[in-house]
Amino acid sequence: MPTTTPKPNQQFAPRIARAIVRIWPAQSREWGQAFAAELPAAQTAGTTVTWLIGGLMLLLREWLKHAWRSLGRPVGSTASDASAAFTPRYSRTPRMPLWLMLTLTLCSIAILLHPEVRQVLRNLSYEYSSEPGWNPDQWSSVKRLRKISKSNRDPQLLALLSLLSKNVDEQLALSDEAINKDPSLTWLDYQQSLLPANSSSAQTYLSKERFARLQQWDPNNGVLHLLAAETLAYPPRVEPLDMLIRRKSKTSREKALIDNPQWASAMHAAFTAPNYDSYVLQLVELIRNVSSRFSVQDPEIGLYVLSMRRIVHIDLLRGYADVLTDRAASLEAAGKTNEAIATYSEMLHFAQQISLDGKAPFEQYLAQQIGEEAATRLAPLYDSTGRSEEASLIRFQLEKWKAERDPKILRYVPLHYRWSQWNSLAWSGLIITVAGFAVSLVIPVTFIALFIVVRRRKTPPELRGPADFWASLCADSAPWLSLASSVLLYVTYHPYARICSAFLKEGDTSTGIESFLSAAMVPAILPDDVGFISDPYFHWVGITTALGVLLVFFLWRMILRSKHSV
Amino acid sequence: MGRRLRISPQTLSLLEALLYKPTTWHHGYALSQQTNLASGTLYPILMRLEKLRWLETTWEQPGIGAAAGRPPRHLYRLTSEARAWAREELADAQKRKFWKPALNNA
Repeated sequence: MPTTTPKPNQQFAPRIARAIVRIWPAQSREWGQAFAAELPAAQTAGTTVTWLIGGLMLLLREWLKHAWRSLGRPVGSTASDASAAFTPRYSRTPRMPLWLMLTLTLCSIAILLHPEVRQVLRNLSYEYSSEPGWNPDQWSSVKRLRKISKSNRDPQLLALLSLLSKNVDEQLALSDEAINKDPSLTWLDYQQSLLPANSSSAQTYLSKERFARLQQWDPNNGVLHLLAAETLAYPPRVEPLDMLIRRKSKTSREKALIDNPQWASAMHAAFTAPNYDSYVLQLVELIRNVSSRFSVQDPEIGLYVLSMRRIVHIDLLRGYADVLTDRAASLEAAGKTNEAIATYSEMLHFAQQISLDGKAPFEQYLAQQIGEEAATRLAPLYDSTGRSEEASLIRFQLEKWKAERDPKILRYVPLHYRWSQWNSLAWSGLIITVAGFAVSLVIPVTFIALFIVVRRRKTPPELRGPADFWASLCADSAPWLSLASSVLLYVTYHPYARICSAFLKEGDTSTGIESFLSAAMVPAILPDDVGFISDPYFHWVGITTALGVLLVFFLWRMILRSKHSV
Repeated sequence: MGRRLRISPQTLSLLEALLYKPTTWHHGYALSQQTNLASGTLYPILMRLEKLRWLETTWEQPGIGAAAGRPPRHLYRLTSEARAWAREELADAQKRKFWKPALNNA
């Protein structure tokens, strides 16, 4: 009897078919066997390969179906479990015991009721729900203070509300009332000396009457003379247009200002005034006082008021210091040593004054710059006139300044603008934002899921639909997610909240303004790479994309169902 | 069969093949040959029909396959309820010119 050698397709095809059947999902393996049993019927190599390819496609399809369905099973249970294998598709019910669900939900609620967490959630809602830019009128803390002010016309409260208002007329009316009741609040006029703060095109300086009142109240303050000089040097609204049309450079403006006796006299008065006070401490005290007395501990208020505070014009100071340096050098060259000494001394005096009383980092930086410039030139002049004791004193001061100077200029950069610090603040901000969004999404989902689960608990498994399936899945997972995001929110924000609350405590001096500003701005900042999430355009794109994906998903399901119906 | 369903031309071809000898058991390869459907298309349709209980399935007697030197085959035929429904569907699809019978000489 002649023996025939089997063809390659007859040799390998059954092995491949057996392998396919072996890895076929258990629930539908019968169909894999059905496919494999037909293989001997394929006579040619071509039909065998085609049949096998079809089998592989079927296998892939079954595996995808299997993987999708396994998502609906509790972790740890296999598809071969009787309960999972023989129950209808949407019959899933929550697996989490009631006591655990209640415990997790109560823990989340307890964390969310913590004042720090409530605070950060409020800040996030201001940041992402209100119109762009700061609008204190929308903040619940400011609304509360306004409500209190209706019955209690406390001057400190009115002063703070005037600083929080965005309406110029209201600001001035409130500060006037506060100053009339308590003249020690007259410094408010300086804070409101260029209004409105948020619109440079509509800004105007303080009225003559208010300015006179301010100068009368604090005649020895150099900052007020600087304000007078600023109104001459930078007339509001005219300046930008003037600059644009005439293309005036800074130097030509300075030259024009030197010839203006009023400006020179105001700057001289500023540089020789006995003190320098931009009223930052008064501002801090006001925030602390109102926060403590009216129990409104909102870091956002402090952040807003301190960030919007009036600061001296740096160009003005730098410009006048340059004018004095040039003048003193000319006098020195002309042999008028005493006049040159007097001019450098004016610079040095101002530098010492600003170094002692200036609160902002840029003021310290400026003081050191002007002071070093003056002291370096002044010491040899004193030596040349035989005033060695004064020269030694100045050299001592110079050395002190040099010793204090950090080789890194970053020392003068506010904490929140330093890159490494900024980066860590920004990442904390991102975690807080993500956790905050998760909390606000997961909490309602938990309640909706529980509502559906409880309401449909008596519905037989065969009548359950996708809503029941998803509700049961959410009821199992949402309490965990809610607890995790609440804890994350609390843990991340807590260190910053402590800094803020220490700063807002009356009488506390351990927390610096810069530390407070850095801590208070954390919920509102994001790393540059993900900064787009705070952009409303990307919110719109995100929501549209998500809805689009959902729509495509449901359409796909509908098409599949109509196709699969037979 | 309760609700009206949209059926693909491939399903109609398969129904036509199953209705050719409605009481006889058919096997997959033969159905594939009759309908020109690849195994990757044919089996999902068979599985859906079976899930909807419009298709009866059984395994061939072991002796029959063994005699021919092959494993027992999986066999299919429409349920008596499904036959009436399938005829309606085929007639309707033909009327709508959605589908043309391939076995019209049967």
